[in-house]
Amino acid sequence: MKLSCMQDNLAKGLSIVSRAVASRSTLPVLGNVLLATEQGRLKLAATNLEMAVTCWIGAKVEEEGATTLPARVLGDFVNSLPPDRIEMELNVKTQTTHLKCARYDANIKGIDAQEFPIIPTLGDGKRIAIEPDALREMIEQTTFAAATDESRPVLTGVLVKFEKDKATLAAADGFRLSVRHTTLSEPVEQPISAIIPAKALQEVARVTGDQEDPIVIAVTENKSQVLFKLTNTEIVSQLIDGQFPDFTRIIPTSHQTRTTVTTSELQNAVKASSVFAREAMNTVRLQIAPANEMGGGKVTITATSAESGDNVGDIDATVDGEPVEIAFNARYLAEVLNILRAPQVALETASSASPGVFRLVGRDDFVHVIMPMHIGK
Amino acid sequence: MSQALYLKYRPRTFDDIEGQEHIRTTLKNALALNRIAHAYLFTGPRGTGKTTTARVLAKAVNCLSDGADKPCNACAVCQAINAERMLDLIEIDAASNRSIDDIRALRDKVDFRPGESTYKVYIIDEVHMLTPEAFNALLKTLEEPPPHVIFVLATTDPQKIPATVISRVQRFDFRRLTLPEITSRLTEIAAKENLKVEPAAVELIARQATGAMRDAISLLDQLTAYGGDEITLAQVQGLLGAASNQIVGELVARLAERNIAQGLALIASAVDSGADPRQLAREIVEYLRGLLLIKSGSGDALTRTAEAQTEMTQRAGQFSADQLVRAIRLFNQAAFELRASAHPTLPLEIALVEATLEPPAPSGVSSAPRTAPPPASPPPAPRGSPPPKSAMPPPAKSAPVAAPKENFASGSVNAAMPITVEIVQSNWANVLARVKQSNRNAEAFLRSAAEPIKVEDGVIVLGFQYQVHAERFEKEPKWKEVVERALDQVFQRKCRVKCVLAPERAKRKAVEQDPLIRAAMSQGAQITGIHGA
Amino acid sequence: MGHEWAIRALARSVATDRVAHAYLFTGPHGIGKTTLARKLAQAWQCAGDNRPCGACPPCQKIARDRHPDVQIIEGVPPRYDFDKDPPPPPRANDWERRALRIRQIRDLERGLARAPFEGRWKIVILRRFEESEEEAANAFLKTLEEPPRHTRLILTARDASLLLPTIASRCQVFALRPLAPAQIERALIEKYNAAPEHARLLARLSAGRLGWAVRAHENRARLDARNRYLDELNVALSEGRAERLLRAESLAKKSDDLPELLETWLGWWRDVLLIQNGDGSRTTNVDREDALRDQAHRFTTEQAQTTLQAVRATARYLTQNVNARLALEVLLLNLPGK
Repeated sequence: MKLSCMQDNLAKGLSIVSRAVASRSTLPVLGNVLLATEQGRLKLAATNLEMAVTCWIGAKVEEEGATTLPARVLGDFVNSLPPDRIEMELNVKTQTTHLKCARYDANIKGIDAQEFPIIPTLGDGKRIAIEPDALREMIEQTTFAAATDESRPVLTGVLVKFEKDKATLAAADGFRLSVRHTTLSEPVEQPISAIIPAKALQEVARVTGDQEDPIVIAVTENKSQVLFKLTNTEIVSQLIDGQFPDFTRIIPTSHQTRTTVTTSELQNAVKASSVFAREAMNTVRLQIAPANEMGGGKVTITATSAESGDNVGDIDATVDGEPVEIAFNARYLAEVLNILRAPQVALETASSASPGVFRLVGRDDFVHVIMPMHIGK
Repeated sequence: MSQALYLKYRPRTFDDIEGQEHIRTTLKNALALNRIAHAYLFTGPRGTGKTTTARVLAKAVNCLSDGADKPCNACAVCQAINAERMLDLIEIDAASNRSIDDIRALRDKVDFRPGESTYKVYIIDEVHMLTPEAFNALLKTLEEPPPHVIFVLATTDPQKIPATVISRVQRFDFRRLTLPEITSRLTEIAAKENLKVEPAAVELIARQATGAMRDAISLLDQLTAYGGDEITLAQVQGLLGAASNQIVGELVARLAERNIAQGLALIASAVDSGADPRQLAREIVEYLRGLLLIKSGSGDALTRTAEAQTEMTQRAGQFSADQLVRAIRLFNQAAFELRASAHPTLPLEIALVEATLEPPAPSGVSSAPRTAPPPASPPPAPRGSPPPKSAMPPPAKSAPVAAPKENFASGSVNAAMPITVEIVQSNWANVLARVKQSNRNAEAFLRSAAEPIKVEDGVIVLGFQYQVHAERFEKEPKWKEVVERALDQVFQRKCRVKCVLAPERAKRKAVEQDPLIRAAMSQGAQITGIHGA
Repeated sequence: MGHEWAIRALARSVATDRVAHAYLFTGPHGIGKTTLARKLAQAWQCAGDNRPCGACPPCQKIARDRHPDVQIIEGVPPRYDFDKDPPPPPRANDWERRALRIRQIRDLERGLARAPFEGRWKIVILRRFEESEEEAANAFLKTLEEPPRHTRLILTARDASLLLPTIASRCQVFALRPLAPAQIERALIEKYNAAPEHARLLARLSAGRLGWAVRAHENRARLDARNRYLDELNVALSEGRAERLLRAESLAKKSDDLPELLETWLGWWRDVLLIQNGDGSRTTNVDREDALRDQAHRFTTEQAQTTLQAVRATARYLTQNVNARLALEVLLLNLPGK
């Protein structure tokens, strides 16, 4: 392998793929980045066997070839170089790669590229195109509800479904559920569904920052991996095996009370209450009262701590239906309010023992369900 | 990949559960009357259906069907549980989540209402492994469980569950499955899977399982991969490394004749032809135990052919009861040591040689069995029950090595009683344990170099085999102090010790007594519940 | 090589696709458990026709422990820090104690939830599972019972009874048994180019463990050590008390060697016992028959048997943290002598 490329391109490419490097693994090659010439470009790839990131940068290839170099050493060295042309040459026999840039020289020992795991490619799998902004928003509005503890691996993932012209992402951790839909510009022929690790989706959201063209998504034939294809980057994630809960059963089909409030007001009130809720199993109570002769509808948010005291906050609300009192986990409330990106939010409730449903006013592409807390005594 | 048979045939309704009628009936009645408790405790040996029953219960309390026969296994909730994707059924392994933080995390979550069912069901497996602090935390939740929560605590070791917890749960004791229960289930599964299994093979599989259904079904499963659709007794023996009864009988005959050479040759040929040495040792123990039972007049309690019975009766006549007890102990010990022996046959060979040689001359110091009458014969095995592993050791239980614990427990250490060397010896392990708490080196030294040999005018005399060791002990003034303090505590009086040289006794201790304690401990592992009480 | 009955059964399961999700291979160290596990993993991942072909990329990667979907896990040394320490080096010897920790099981389970990377299955070989901490073994029960769809697990252990009974009952158990010395002898000569005399000795010393024999053949250190241990024993037999005490002191200094030393001595006294009882054909120390015969003559069966017991007791004391010097003093003073 013999080629040259620009320092800033290489540095950027390495920073993208380095997220997938496995620093501590029984397979030493996973700590390395694969460098390979491919159709006149330099391919960089890294994987930790849960996720693989591949990225292509412009290069002048003089001799085809491939090797793997330790990610840390290569990255740190390239970052220390001036923004100039880097020349690279691999000595196949010693698996040592010589780097030259301006007046700097280095020899980096690598591992044979044969040792590097085979990263799945797009193949003939069904492809779905989706706008980057829409995908990013969907990821943001669902992944936070996925479980972080591994006792049920399925719940650490996000269910991703494509059916006709509808795309759905859903995440649940046993106490809350977040579901977001969007419409595809081109319908899919066959429904596809897969459980993608929430962490991998967050990584996808991170690298799509300056992506303009639609992102192509494909699930491999054997349903082992999902691939996200960006302009110069590909992210492959292993799918989580198992059965995702039937989330439609968790979304209540009817309600007694619908309460509409200003998102930021509720956010502030919850924030104030959580100071006291912290010491009381993180519970905040919402007393919802419809308008009457005394005044307009309102929501009273309270928290009580045996040690620190209590607080009460009132916000105005449009309340349709019966008065109700319901308790929620303060953190869960704060987290969903945080990702809404909408001025108004509606809460649908049936009783203090039934799940609370958060929706966006005037939109039906987002649903968030939170299990209420048992109100004792 | 084919699904494991024990999963494929895991019971899905109360009626599918083999045995345990009393539990099935009670639970079904409670469901019918809508009298569901908020906390259950399921106890019993492994593979008797505790977790399975808990899952069936979780389905039944949440089942959406209108019919009386719950669980229906057809509604959305039943199906979700069967597919293991129900969010409101939470299984926790207490052995690996045993700390107070684990239980606190659980407590923080129980207040959340269920999302897709009426009750959230928590199954806490191996609950006896919780730390005392964790139990306390759990207790708070059990005292005031939210109405939407049901706890099922499961354990193989109910003695370790605090009484405060037991008093707040409904307890069900699962019993070991009987041989007929297991054979009937195996036969049923074999029929469904189109397997031809010889009845003798079914019985050997069932016996090997010692009352645990999963073990039995697993073994059957393995045999299908191994032998195909027709399973013979020979295949089961081959897989288990079981020797034929004939070889075992011949070996015991050589033992009776005290023919070491031929005995060793038999062991070699059995192992060469594929017998597993450990399995062989266990079978010898079983056989000798059979002889002992015949000798004590309860031989007819075992099921065997008339031919075998005649042969064994004749062979039983060739041994004294003492010899049998001793041989059982030796081969039992061999079976234990073979677990971790680098040499595949050595412990078995040594057992044979030792059982053949005359026992060491009685030293008169300990209450050895040779001067005592033959130990009481173990209770006859109930007809048709499998020979559970725990049934093997009874002869050894009555052996002197088990005595210390009993003496101690029965209160023989009483401040009013005069102290004798027997009492000191039988409580020596306790003394050493206390010594270890304050000085590990002293304990290690004493354990291998000395033993109490007599009591003179209230002074406890420690015998050392070698002068160098006695001197070393004397030179370490702290050690003596530590030992005396430990003796004070154990015997509830002021004790003093003295060292003497006693080569023969210490030697006997080094080579004979200790291995027996080890062997007994290996069996004692099954009865630690008594110890902890 | 060897274990034909197990290989036949496993090959049959591969051919008929009646494969279980969890296997347990048991037997003494060096008998071939991990070798068999690798072979089985190859058969499952093989891309060739005659599985395992041994030649395709998956087979070769597995042979070198480099396959991303075949993981070998075993215990770590005491006080090992997963976040700071480098991967632990291979064990110095069979007696080195390691423990499989709950952290390893949790990491493993996390990985298993994800689909295989390039193979057909995600395969995990958990070596020496008897070394797992109680919490780790318990934490593993659920996965062992119903692992994710694409998972296959192979556990190895010295004996099933050293594991939680609930572990063994969830696996298909193959108790590998010692090979016949003749079989090992042949393998050493034919596959490893050992000289016939040398092969005969190693085959006997290996006690049916081909892996042990091959390692001893490839690394002379083992045989050298064994010779040294036997020399120590034979010299000690002719010594008086004072000299034996000095010897005990010097032996005790190399405490890492003691388990192997005692095992060597056990094998020796077993040979003496066998010769005394007319079974000289099965002795292991075939290169020192003269000394064996001499001692078989000189000592009684009772003496040989008592000594065997004493050696065993000493080995046990050492695992119980008894002072090594003291234990050896007692043992050496107990050896029969002039």
